Amino acid sequence: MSEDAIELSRKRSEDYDEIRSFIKGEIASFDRLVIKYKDKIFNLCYRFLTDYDDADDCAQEVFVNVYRSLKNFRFEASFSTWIFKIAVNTCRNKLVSADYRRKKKMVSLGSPVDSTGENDCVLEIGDERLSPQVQAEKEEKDKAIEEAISSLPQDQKEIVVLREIEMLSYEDISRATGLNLGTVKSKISRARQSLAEKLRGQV
Amino acid sequence: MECRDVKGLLSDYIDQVLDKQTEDLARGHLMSCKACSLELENMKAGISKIRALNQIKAPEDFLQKVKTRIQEKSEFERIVSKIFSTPKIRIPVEAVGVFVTVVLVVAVFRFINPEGKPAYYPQVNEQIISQPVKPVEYPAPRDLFKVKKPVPVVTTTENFNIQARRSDVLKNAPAQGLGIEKIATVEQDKKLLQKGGTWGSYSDGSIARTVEPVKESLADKKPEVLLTIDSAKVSLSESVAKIRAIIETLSGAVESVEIDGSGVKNIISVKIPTITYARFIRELSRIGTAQVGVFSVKLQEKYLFLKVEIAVSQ
Repeated sequence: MSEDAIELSRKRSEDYDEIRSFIKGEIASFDRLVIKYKDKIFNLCYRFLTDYDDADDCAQEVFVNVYRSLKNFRFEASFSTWIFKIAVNTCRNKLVSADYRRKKKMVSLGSPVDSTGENDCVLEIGDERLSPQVQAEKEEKDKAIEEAISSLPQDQKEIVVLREIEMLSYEDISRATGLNLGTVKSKISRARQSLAEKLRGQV
Repeated sequence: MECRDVKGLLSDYIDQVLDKQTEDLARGHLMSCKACSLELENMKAGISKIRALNQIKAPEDFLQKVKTRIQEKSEFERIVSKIFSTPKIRIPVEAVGVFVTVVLVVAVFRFINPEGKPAYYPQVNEQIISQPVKPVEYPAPRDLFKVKKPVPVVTTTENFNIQARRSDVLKNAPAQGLGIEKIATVEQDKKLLQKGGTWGSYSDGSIARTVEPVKESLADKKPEVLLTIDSAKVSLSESVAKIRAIIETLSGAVESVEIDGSGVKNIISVKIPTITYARFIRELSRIGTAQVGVFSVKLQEKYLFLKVEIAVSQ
């Protein structure tokens, strides 16, 4: 067994222990799971929704859903795959919710329209909470990359975020999104081609 | 392998998920094709840039916010469930089983026999029904459940006071084939007195008038049920009282009692709930009267109208 596989197995086992403990009534176990996964889930939500407040709200909702469903956890998949699946679904629900659409419409009024017409989500560039400690130059680069990701169709964006940012395996992406492995591969391939095109010479 | 094919495989090539043979072919092409090689580098660079993006971290108070939200939701759900919850009543499984069985049996019975006729419903002689001996005034459906006090028609003058016994009309009534009906007290029926109708009075003060007796002759008809006890010594009045008691138990009603002048035979018109027919016959067989014949008259709603002829040994 490779070192990565051993590390993965150890993490999975740790998570399982916390879940069993939570099921027995140890609430602190849930707190530890939140602390362990909050940044990953928050980042995922942010990349999906491209808005800090929406990401905050959505990530909280993800953990509320986890709290309510944890007693039914079946110890078949890893906890990380399971929570990513919940996160993807929660983000999808958020994206189609009436409130979110209304808000995006209002934000987009003063924003330049994307030439492809696919860019429904406009990044909040002026939000100082985005990355307050990052240097201006890095911010500029990140902004261009984020815009390129945002310009992808929603289904490709999901796959790119899960693969390139959250570093999930194809199998885990397949479980988290409910798509079959072949579809995941073809979507990631198209998204990478599109991103390579958009980012060529830009940064 | 063509450039077009290789471009489609670049993503899988980077992630090393191609099978060995395809990977070798792709690698061979990439080593010889500058355009595809550049495409590969571009894609790798794009991936690296995305992977180098800063991770957006959750706020410091994130855990607290999650806990507050869970608490708020739980509180809200507790209130909602309290409002809409149904009272918790424990019903034993056995009781539910019995209830379901009863409902099923009734449903099946209704399906098989929608008119509610029991399997032991008597074979009614159509001739008797189509040619009733005497039309009888049956109560309206809404009165079916009211126990109607029967109005007996008597043909004896034994209980009459002197005045009545002296009345030729009343005295001769039985001989003329008339019955005498006890209808009311003198005070209650002054109209009858004022009209100067044919009347007499009983010793208890109630008045009587002559009436056409119910000329029902069941003699030439065969009863559906005939019960006989050769050695029976039960009197007519005892038999009538017993039948009244049975009818009362079965939630039926005695319509009338026709007393035969001979003193050996009475005919009682009764109505009983149809489903109690078998029990009625069973009870009749126990009263000990010498002879009991049961004739069915008609079926109306859920009631069976019968005439019960009782006779004692002479």
